[in-house]
Amino acid sequence: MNNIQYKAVAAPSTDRQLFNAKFSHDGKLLIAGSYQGDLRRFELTEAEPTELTPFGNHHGWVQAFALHPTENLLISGDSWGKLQAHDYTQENPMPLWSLEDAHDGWIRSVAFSNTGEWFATCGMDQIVRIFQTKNGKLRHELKGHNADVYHVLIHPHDDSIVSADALGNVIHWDMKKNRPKRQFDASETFLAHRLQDVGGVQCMTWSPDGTTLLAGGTRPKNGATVQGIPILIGFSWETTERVFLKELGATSDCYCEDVAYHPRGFLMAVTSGTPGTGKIQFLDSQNLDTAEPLFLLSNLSNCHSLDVHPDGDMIAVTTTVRGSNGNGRKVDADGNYIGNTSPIQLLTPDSPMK
Amino acid sequence: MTQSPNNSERHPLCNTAEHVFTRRQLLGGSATGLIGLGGLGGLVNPLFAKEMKSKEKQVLFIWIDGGMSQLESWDPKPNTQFGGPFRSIPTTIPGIHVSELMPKTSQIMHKLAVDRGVSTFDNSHSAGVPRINRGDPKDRGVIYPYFGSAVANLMGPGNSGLPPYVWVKPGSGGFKYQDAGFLGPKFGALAIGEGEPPPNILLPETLSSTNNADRNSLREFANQQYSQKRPPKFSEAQNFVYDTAQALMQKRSLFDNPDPKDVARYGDTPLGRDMLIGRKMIEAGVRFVKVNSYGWDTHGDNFNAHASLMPRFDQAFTAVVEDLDERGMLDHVLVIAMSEFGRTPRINGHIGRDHWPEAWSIAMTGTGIKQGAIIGSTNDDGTWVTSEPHDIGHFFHTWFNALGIDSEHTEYINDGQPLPIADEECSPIRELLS
Repeated sequence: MNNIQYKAVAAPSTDRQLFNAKFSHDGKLLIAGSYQGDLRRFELTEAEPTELTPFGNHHGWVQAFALHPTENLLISGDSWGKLQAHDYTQENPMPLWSLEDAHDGWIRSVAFSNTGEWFATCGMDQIVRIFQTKNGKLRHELKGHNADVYHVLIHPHDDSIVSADALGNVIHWDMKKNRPKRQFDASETFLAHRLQDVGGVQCMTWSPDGTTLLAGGTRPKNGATVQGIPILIGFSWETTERVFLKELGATSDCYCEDVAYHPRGFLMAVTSGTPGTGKIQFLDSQNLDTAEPLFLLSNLSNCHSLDVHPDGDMIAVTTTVRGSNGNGRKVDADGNYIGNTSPIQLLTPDSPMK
Repeated sequence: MTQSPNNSERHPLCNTAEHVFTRRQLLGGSATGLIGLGGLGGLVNPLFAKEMKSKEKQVLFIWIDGGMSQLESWDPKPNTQFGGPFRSIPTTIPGIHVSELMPKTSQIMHKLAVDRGVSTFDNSHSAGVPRINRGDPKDRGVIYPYFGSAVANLMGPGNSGLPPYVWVKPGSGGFKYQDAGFLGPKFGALAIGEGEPPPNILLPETLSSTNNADRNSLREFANQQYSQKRPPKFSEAQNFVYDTAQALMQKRSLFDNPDPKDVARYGDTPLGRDMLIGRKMIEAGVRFVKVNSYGWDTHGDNFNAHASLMPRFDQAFTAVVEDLDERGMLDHVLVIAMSEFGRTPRINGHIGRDHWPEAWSIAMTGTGIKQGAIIGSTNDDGTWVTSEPHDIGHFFHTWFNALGIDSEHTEYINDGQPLPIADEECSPIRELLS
């Protein structure tokens, strides 16, 4: 455990920036949402990742999507409020169903129930909604947040739903009464600075045994060009009490953008700061107070998400292009304005994980 | 990918040779009149000064410091590479859309004028803020005044008895002489910080009017002694600040707690508070009021930032425009909302937008402005201006003309040196003028 070493093996990218790269269940595909209305796929069966046909016919940003726990089904939500279901293994996936106005505006997160029978969504309209997977029929509507809801998560044991918002409020919902049942205080991730609401919960996950809820974000120092210390807060699922707070870097490291437990038991987190700062770190989940991470890779740029391949070895981290920030006109030799892209860093251990 | 325009094509409205000739004609024809004069600070032509005194036009200048994103406000490009997550919404002008983050503004669009074809030069705050505020004139070895100081000088304080240039802002207050440039500290801004009146604005209860009069006599004596060996502009400024304080003491009600209904309409935010004070200052007759909002420099997390910034701007901006309109004050108040630049179409790695002077937007309404004039355009992905690009010099000409000032024939006189009040290589944007 103390000698974890990962190396970058490939960094596929597309002509658009990407969100939340995830591996398919069989590990043969890598899927990400794009900044311009579709989803992008890479086939991983060859030596070099190959991009397949984009799909989705979405609008705006496709930040939110989730893979069904057992089927080749993907639910995606866009920033204009549209939800769709696709079989992502098809050559040219067509929507199985589509809801144009599932939310009023930006859908931030999608999460499947443990069986996949239903899924939850949340977004800018401050509402959490539960839909039936097979046809997109609305089953529940949960109101109680007072801000943009950034993340929704399903408990691995009993399908309890929790959602977290831009003010750092985490709600455990009472599904029988369609109202908040308990609340977890992650308000340390929020700062009202001048006119701006800064921060909020950026990511959540469960400990493997389901006893601890982890919420990640930043402890904001200021708005505008946001700076803050990336933090992870652990809550007891039983009592809602805070059981730990882990700082993941310095003020310039800013947001903890994603967090997950590796199948081997250690905790992984990625951060994104200004300008261009990005880190991935592995932490000993049994000794979070240990100062040194088990593994730290700090030469990446703006890490926004992570996912572990089903083989337990390869890791995908959605990043950006170093030097993509900067004022004024950046044009190529032909005078064309240069956009940005999101290389997905594929990392493998020096030796297979055991 | 979109093609960058050629810099040499930036200002087709301008005809340098023509402007120079006109200016020479003007200088030759008015040489005898260009003497230091007392009227409005002794820095403008006397006939013009007399004319301006009779006009009671005012300015509400809303300064969005750091750079509002044009793509998340006035010039959305939804569903494009750089368009961001937000939708656009229709406005009261058919065919014109703004960001969904401006629902209230969308309903008063027919009262506004917006130029989406703004193209300026500076992409840093340190250079951009002063140059934009000064109208980016040619370098003549002097520091030009900010727009507020320029209006204070050219149009005078009016009849309100209040200072001509008030700056309502978060943070510290005080007298900000730096804005005045060569006009001298007298034309600086009286800053109202955090919505609080200047400290010690009320006379102590223990001070009788007789004692206060005696105290003033002593102060005036000391001022005379001080002035004898110093340039007059310093003592003028000192007296001006004191007189300003005296005037404000008579208008203490400007700082009374606001009506809760007004707070609800303007928003319980620093900008809502300051916009409300700004409206009160305008109603009280202040010539030029600058309302300042900080925190718009969104290099990181631009979209979440604008999701909270824009609705708060939208609320306060719409409320003040509607209030001025309902009171019939847009007939004589020029309202301007702008930053020092826009923000890059490219979305950087920290999901931010950087500084972008190449293609952005400025909004305005009120006296002299053609309501509903949505002019200028950018290409499909918002990278470059596709209409005639307008630099800040064009806007200074436009705003001066909206205030009744002939910007192409009016000059400052700085120690005998005639200086144009706006960049002579630019001209008014006629499509924006009523």
